[in-house]
Amino acid sequence: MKKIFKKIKELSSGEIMSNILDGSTEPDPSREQLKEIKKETIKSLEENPDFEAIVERQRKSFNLLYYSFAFIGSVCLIGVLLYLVSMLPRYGVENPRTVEVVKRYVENGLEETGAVNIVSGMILDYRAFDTLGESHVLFTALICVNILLRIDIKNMRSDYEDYYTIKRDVYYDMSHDGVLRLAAFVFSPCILTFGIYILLNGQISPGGGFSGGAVLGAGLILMSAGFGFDKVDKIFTLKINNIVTFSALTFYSFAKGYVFFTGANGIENHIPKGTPGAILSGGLILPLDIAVGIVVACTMFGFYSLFRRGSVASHING
Amino acid sequence: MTLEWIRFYMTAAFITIALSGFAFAVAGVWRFDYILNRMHAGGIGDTFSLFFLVTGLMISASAPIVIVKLLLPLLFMWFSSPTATHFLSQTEYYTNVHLFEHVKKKISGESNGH
Amino acid sequence: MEFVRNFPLFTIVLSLFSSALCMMLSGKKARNYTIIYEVVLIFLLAMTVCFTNSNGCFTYTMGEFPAPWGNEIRAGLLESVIALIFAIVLFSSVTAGWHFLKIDIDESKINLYYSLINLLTAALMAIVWTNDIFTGYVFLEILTLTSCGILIVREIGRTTLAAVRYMVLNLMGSGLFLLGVVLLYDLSGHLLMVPMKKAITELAADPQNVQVITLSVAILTIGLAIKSGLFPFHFWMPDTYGWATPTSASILSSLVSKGYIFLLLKIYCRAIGLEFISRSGIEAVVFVLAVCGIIFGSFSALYAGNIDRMVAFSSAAQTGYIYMGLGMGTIAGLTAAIFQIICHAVTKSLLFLSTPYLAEASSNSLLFKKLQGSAHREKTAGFFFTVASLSMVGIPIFAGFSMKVIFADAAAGLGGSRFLTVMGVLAVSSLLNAMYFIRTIVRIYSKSEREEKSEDPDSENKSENKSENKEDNKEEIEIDRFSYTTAGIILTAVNIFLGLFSWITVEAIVKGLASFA
Repeated sequence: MKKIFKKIKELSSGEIMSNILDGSTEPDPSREQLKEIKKETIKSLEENPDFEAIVERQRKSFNLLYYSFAFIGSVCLIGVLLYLVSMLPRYGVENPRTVEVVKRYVENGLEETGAVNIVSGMILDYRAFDTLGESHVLFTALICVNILLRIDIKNMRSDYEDYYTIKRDVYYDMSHDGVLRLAAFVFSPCILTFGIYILLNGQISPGGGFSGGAVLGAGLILMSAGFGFDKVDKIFTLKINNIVTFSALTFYSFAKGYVFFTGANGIENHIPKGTPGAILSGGLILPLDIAVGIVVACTMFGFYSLFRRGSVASHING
Repeated sequence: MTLEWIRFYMTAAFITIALSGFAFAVAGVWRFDYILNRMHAGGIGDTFSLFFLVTGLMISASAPIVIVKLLLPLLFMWFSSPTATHFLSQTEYYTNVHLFEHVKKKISGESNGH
Repeated sequence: MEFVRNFPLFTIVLSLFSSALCMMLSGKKARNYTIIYEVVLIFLLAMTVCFTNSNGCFTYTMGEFPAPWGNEIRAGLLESVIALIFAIVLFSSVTAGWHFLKIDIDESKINLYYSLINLLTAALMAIVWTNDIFTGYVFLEILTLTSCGILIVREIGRTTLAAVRYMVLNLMGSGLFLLGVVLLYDLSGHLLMVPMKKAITELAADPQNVQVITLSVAILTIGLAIKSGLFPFHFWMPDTYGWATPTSASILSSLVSKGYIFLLLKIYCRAIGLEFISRSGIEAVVFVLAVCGIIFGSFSALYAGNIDRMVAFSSAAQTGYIYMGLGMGTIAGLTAAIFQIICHAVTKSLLFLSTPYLAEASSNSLLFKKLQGSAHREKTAGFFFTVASLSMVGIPIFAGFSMKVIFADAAAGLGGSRFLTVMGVLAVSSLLNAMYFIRTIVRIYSKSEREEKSEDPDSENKSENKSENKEDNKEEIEIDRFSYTTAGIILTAVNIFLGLFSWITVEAIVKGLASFA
C-alpha cells in the first residue's frame, strides 16, 4: 500500500513528464556490459554460503503451503458436493416432473426413430445437434495434436531433433519380433471385423459410431505395430486419411443440416425408417454411425502414428 | 449335501484363489522398483488369476452356452496379455542403456531405485 | 416461412464445413477462403438482425421433434446483434493479423490454424443461438479446445507455458460447469432452458430446495467465471494474451471470454430466472467480486512493465465491469453489461492488433522503455492505439464514455450502498485507467534522444533483416499494411458509432432483452 501512495504522490508532485518517461532516455547497456553484470551476479550468488540454505527453506515452506492448501481445498469441495447430493430431491417415477422427457423416449422411441437401441436413437435423432458437436470435438483434438507433433520434411525444427526422431523409430521398430507378428496375424482380422460389427449394429444392439471407431482404431494400431509401418502405409496414405476425414465430416454436417432444415420448415424429409431390427433401419443412424466411426478410427491411428514418428502417414508420401 | 451347495463352495474357492492372486499381483506392481520385476508380478494376474476366475464362473454357469461364451474372453486374454508383456519387456531390454549396471547392482546385493 | 429463419442454422453448419475444408486446402488458400467466408457470415447476420428487428424472436426446431424432446435454437434481436458484432471483430482480427501470423507459425501449419478459427466461429455462433444447456456445454468444449489450439500454434517456450496454464484452468472451469449442468438436470428433468425455468420456479417455491438450487447455480457460475476471468481467477490473463500471436490474442480477449459471459447471461435469464438469482445470494457475491476485479485489475496494470501485460490486466478490469452490470440485478444493469460486452469486444481487439506493430518498429520489443516514440515510426498503429485507449479511458466521443454513462444511469435505479459503490468504482477506475493509458500514449508519442544515438546493438541486425525483407516482398508488406488499416478503420467506425449514436444500440438491446427471457 505504501508503494501506491508514494506513486500517487510522485505523479501529483508536478514532475509528471520525467516520471512518465522514467528511465527511457538512458541508452541500453551494451552486450559486453550485460555479460559483465551477469557474471558478477552469478559470482556473488555462488560465494554467499547461505544462499543454498535460504533457497532450500523457501522451497520447503512453499511445498508445505501448497500441499496443505490443496488438501484443504479438496476436502472442502468433497464436503460441499456430498452435502449437496444428500439434499437432492428424489429422481424417478415417483417424481413425475423429472421423467417427463424420458418417458417419451422410452415409450415412443422405437416407432419414431426406427432404432431398437433407444440410446442410439436418442443421440443421433432426437438430440442430433449435440452429437454433431461431439464429433467435431474429436476433430479439433486431431488438429491440435497435428500442430504440436507433426514433423514436416520441409520445416524440421532443428536438424538433430526431428531427423533422429524418425531414425530412432525405425531402429527400435519391433515388427520383426515373432511373438508380436503371430499375435497380430491371428487377431487383427478378428478385431477389425468386430469393429465393423459394432459400427453396423449401432441401432440394433449396444454399439454405435464412437465405440466401433475406437475398436477399429485399435485394430489398425495392432496391425502397424505387428507388421511394421511400411506395410500399413501402403493402404493408409496421407491423402486417404485427409480425404476420408474430410468427406466423413462433410457428409455428417450436411446430412444433419438437411434433416434440421426440413424438420424446422415442415418439409418432409424422405429418409426411410426401415423395419426395426434389420441392419438397414433407423433412417440416417446407420450412415452417420459409419461416418463417425471412420473419423474416430482415423483419429486414433493418427494419434498413435504422430506420437511414434511425427506424421500420420509415411514421410515419403509427404 | 446337494449339488447346488457343492457348486457354490467350489465356485467360492476358485474365486477366492483368483482374488488372492490378483492381490499379490497388485502388491507386486506397486512395490517393486524395477519394470521387469513389476512385469513378472503383473503376469501372475493376467494368467493364473484369470484362469481360476473364469473356471469358477464356468462351474456356476446356468446354461452350457455360457461356458463357451466365457471361454472366448479367456482365450483372447491369454493370447494378448502375454504378448503385451513380452513386447514391453523387449522394449525395455532394447532401449535401457543402463540395464546391465542395474543387473550388476542387484547381483552384488545392493538394492537401488531404477 | 421466410428463408431468413434458416440463417442461424446456416452460420453453424457452414462454419463446421469450412473447418473441414480448410484442413484440405493449403496455406494461403485457406486464409483467402476464411476471409471470404467471414464476409458472407457478416452479410447473413446483418439480414438476420433486420429480420428479428421487424418480426421479433423466433424458435427454430433442430429436427422434427418439438421442444422438450428435440433440440432447438432461438434467434432474437439481442442474439443477432451480438453475433454480428462477433463476426465483425473476427473478420478484423483475421485480416489484420496476417502479417505476424506468417512470422509466428510454420508455413505448413497455417491451414490448420484457419481450420481452428472456423471451428471457433462455429462454437461461438452455436453458443449465441442455443436454447439448450447441454448443447451450450458441447460447444463450450469446442471453444475451449480451439482457444488452446490457437495459442499453442506459436511455438516458443513462454507461449507453451501460458497455453498449458490456460488449458488446465479452462478444463477446471469446464468440469465445474458440467457438474452444475448435471445437478440442474437432476433437479429439473429438462435440458432445454424454457422448460427448465418452469421446473425450477416450481421447485424453488419449496424452501427446502432453495439451498440445493443455489449451490448448483453457484458451481456453474464459478466454472464460467474461471473461464472468463472474474476477479480471483484472472491471473492467467497476462501470460495468455501477452504471448499469443496478435490474431489469437485479439480473438481470445474480445470474443472467447465474451462468449462465456453471454452463455452465463442466457442461463441466468432463460434457464433459472433473474428473481431466483437475486433472492439467493449469488448476485451479491458476483457484484462484490466484480468490484474487486475492477480495482485490482487496474492497480496491476499500473505496475506492468510490458505493454501487452498492461493491456491484458486492463482486460481483467473491463470484465469486472460486465460482471458488475450482471450483479446489479435490474434490467438496466443487464443492458449496461451487454453494452459493455459490445464496446469491449470492439476496443480490446483494436488494442491487441496495434501493439505488435508498435513493437515491430521498436526492435521487436514490447518493453515500455523501448516503445518510446514508436508512434512516430508507425503512424497508423499509433493512431489506432490512441483511439482505442481514449475509448478505454472514457473520453466523450468514443464508446467507453457511453458505457460509463449507461452504467451510472443503471446505478441510479439501485438504492443506497450499491449506488454509492458503483459510482465510486466508476470514478476510481476511470482515474486509474487514465493514469496508465494516457501515460502510454504520451510515451509512444514523445520522441526520445535515444533515436539519434546509434550504439544500439540490436539495430544493426534489425536493419539487415529489414533490408532483406524489403527486397523480397515489398508488395506483400503493402497489402498487409492495407488490410491492417482497413480492419482498424472498421473497428474505429463501430467504436465511434457506439459512442456518438449509443441510443440506437441501447434501444436494440432493451428490445432484445424484453424477448430474451
